[in-house]
Amino acid sequence: MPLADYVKKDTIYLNCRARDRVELFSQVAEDLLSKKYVKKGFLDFINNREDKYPTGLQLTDYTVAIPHGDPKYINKPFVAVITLIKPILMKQMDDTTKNLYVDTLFILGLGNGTDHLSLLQDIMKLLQKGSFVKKIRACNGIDEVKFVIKDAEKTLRGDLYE
Amino acid sequence: MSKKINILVACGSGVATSTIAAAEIRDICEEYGIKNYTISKCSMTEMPSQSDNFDIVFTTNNYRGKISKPLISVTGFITGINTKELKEKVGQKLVSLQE
Repeated sequence: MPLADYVKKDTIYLNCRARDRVELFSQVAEDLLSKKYVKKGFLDFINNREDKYPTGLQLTDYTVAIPHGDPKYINKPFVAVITLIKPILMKQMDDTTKNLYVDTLFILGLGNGTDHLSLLQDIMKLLQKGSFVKKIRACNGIDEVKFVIKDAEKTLRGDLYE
Repeated sequence: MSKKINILVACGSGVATSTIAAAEIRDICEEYGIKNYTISKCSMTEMPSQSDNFDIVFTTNNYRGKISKPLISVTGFITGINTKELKEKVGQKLVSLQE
C-alpha cells in the first residue's frame, strides 16, 4: 500500500496551532481517538516515547519529526501529516541534548505487520528530498496534500525504474 | 568460512527506524561481500541487556550508557545526511569483525 493510502483525508492537519509538543500531541491524539484510528493509551505512549527517544530529524533543509506509536495502540493503520503555523520545540533523534524547532510532523500509526519496510523507506526517501517537505508546507487544502504525496510517490517509483 | 557476525539494530520502539537501518546494513553486507551474519532488532530499552548476545550494535537514537560491544549510531540512514561516509564506516567495521 503506498503512502498516499496511509495518509487519510481525516488524518491531515494543516496549519495547526499549538504552544508546545504536549499540546499538539494531545490535540491530534484526541482527534485520532475519536475517529477510532488509535486506542486509549496512544497519547501516553507517544509522549513517553518522545521524552525518552525523540523523533526530531534535522534534514538538509528542513526539520521534521516522525513520532510513532506502538502497534498495540493502533486500530486502523494511518500516517498523519501535520503542519504548524509556528514551530514547536522538540529534540533530535540522534542527540537528545539538541533542541530542534519542528513545523512539520508525520505521525506514523503502523499496525503489526512486516510490510512496513517499503512504506518507511518511501517516507524517508521523500523526507530526504527537501522539496517534498516544502511542497507539503505550501499546501492549502487536504486534497492538495493527497495530490502532492501521490505525485511524489510517482516520481519516487520513476526514479527507481530509471 | 569467515566468522559469523551477530548484528543488533535498536531504535526507540524496535519497529520503525531500526527496520530501515537494518535494511541498509543488509545492503552494506552484500556490498562488502559479508555473507555470514544475522540481524536482529530490538527497542532501546532492551538493547543494553540484549547486546551481550551480539557482536555489534547499531542504534538510530543516541545512547549515553556503556555497553561492552562496539556501538555505532546510524541516524544518517534515516536523515540521508552523510550516508556515503556512514556506509563506509559501517562496512569497514563489519569487515574487521569477520576476522
